[in-house]
Amino acid sequence: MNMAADLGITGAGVRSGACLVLDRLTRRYPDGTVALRGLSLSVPAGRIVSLLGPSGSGKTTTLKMIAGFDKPDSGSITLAGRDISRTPPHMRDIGMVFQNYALFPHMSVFENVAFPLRMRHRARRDIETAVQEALALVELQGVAARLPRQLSGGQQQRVALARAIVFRPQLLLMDEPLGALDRQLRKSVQSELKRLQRQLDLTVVYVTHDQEEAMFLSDEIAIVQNGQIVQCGAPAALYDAPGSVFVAGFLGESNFLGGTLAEAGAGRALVTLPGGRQMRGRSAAPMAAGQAVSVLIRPEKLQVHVASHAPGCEVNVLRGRIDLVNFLGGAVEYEVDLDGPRLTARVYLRASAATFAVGDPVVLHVEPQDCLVFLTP
Amino acid sequence: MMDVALAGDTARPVPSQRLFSGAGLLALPLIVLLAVVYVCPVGVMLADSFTDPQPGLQQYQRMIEHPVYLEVLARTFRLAAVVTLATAICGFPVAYYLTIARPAVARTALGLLFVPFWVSTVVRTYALMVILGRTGILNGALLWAGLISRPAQFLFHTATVQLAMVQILLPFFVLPVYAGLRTIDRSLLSAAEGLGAPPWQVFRRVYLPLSLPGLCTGALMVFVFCFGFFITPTLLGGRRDVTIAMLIMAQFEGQLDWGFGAALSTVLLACTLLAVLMMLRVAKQDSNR
Repeated sequence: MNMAADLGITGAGVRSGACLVLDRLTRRYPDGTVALRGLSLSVPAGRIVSLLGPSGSGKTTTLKMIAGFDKPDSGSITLAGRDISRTPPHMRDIGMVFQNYALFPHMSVFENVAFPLRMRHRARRDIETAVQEALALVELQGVAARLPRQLSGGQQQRVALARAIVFRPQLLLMDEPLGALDRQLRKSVQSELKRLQRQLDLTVVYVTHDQEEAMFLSDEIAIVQNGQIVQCGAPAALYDAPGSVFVAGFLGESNFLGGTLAEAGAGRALVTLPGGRQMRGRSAAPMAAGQAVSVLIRPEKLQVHVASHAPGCEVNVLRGRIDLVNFLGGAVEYEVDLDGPRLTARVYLRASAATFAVGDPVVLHVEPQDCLVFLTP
Repeated sequence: MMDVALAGDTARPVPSQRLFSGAGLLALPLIVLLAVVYVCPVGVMLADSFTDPQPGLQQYQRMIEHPVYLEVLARTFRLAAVVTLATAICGFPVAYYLTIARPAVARTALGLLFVPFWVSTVVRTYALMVILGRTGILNGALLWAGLISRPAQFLFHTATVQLAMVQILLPFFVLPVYAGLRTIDRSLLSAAEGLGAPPWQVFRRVYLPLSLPGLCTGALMVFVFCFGFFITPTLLGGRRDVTIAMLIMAQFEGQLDWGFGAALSTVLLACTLLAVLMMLRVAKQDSNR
């Protein structure tokens, strides 16, 4: 059931978000730097897709291309089946929330939100109701007469959002919209955003460099590196099966152990660590014995036992000493020195969980399916 | 933007309550100088206009009784208005260009804009006479090209005065406007465009309103300068181009009628202050909207 219809948000009937397809976009700036190298992405209607990547990876350029503030050298942008690559920004029907909100400082909150409707020559009465509804959606009914600078950062952010959705665009773009908010506020705005997106059935492209935000918000995450999308998928899929060391390192926290491949086949791998110890894991890509590899272990997959603990088997057992203890509230992070390599283990604090102090000898254990083996790049 | 907004809310500098804190003392020499050479003479002049040759309002009465004086005042006002408008039309695009030009280009252009400051108004006005005079460069060129058979009269027209004043005052307009335009956040223009505004609407609804404070400052500078302009209208204007400043000069120098000169000066001062107040109100209204 669509709550937007119940609320009567629409003026002219509910319009769902449209699907967006980016096909092999390239962009080289006049100074020679290449921003995009054949970036392709498909955003299904009604979904939030995050572009996640380090700064300079091309995610903001991609957003600018979609909005029309920059033109690709080659490739095409298709929105709801229509090629908009050469359409000027004001004819694209795309809402955008800017990093700094870009609220018009000389207009009241009401006028800011009414702006896209006025540009579309809507009737005065329709504008009035649509603006009030949009402000109600972001819970800002009381401040319509105020100027943006009389609002807090969080309120400004919500005005920017109301302004971007009031004309029911086919697509909503968000460029690190929560970057300027403090952590507490960010959490609640993220939930709000998710609720709104479901409620209005919006298609959203969300740019961020905050992996937690991306995982929290997105139906799909596209990891951007060097002007290309290196992997795209649901957050859980990307987290559990990253396709490369870069993706693994960028999404979630990771331990990497370097070693040499001893045996490989059928998605399994046996790795010899420098000290002679061996580890079993799974591998996604084909690789041959003797190649240098990295073993990825997520911190929460490591089990920490007292040194006297005798594991059932000797596979994937590592002995070491606690080097640092970091208290995180609901969890504790142990940095364990393995006589050379170091691993970080995260233990969630339950009544049964044993706790350790700096200097304690410990045994670490990890299941083979939680060890991902990559060729060392 | 949020930072700016927050700063506006909480961190607005509180004006110092002590009149002469350490820093205030630094302005003392200037304050003394202004008191001696500005405040005192203006006070004396104001007093003179009511007391010379005898106490009373007869000098102001004379101004009202003879329409020629009010005519000169109106003409001066018109001249100032036309020049201000023309300067704004010529200067606004330049100021805008400076904000979008590459930094090196903008620096050079700004430097060029300053060059006329190094040459006095008198010299620049005479230079125009050399160009526009009966045997000047322009007439020479037109005669040589066969476009005219006799030298044309370019000097001593109101339009010539206006042209010269625009040329002289342009930097006074461009600099404050440029400073104002530079503070406009360009992402606002992108935002407007993305929200459906065609370029013309982006300009009218966002850029122009945001540039108004700078425009007002620039226009005010030019207008106030124009109102007291003396050299250029005297040298380039015809007999019909008498301004109030020229009239005042004549009272002090030629007629030796200091009382009437003081009364005219007082009116000029009052008109200028009125213009300043009006402009300030417009600028303030805009920033409060």
